[in-house]
Amino acid sequence: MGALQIVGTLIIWVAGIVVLVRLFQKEGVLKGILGLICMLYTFVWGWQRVKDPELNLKNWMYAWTAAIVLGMILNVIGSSGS
Amino acid sequence: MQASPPLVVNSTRRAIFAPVLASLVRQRRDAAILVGVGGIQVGLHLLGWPGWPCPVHQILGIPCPGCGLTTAVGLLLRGDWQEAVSTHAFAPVLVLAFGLIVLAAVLPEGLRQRLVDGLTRLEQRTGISAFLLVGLLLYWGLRLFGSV
Repeated sequence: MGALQIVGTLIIWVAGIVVLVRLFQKEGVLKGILGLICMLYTFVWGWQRVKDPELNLKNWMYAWTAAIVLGMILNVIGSSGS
Repeated sequence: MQASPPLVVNSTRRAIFAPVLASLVRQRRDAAILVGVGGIQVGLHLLGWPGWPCPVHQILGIPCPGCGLTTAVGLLLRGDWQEAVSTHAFAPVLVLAFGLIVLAAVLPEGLRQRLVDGLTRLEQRTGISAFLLVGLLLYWGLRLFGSV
């Protein structure tokens, strides 16, 4: 489970940074800072633009979301096991 | 004849005075999504369930600029102002912004458009969003180094 958690965390990190960089590029500095302050906004923004071919976010958003769900499942398993 | 300001000054000014909140709520659907996601996050917190995991805190072990905002908003909603502001000083600002987003999601179209236009003008004239965002980053720095 430890290895899975590390992989999930890495995916969250990398996907989050990729989407945040695209947010900075597409929407400018202020919204980029907003995305940095609130990664939840970055996540929502990513899903809102998931079909934009120019941004090419589809795979990153699927990976990010899957990693979050995986993290939640591992948390539940971890807390029910302890 | 008056000389026009250099291009760099113009583009910097445009970036600083760009509307942020107004652009978030320009489309009713976008405002509704933000209300839904924000509501779920605060609702989960009030129920004592885990909400959105902060990637910065998860990986680097340090709080991000927004860490503590959900807790602080929860405290504000319970009426504990002092504790809320000491948890995160920007909680009242977030509640105010969230209130405006809720209005933009539910108001009838005419009033909604006036709200969005008003917000756009306010942000373009005062640069309030830029000041608040930079202020939040400075506040984060102070928190990180233990001064607040």
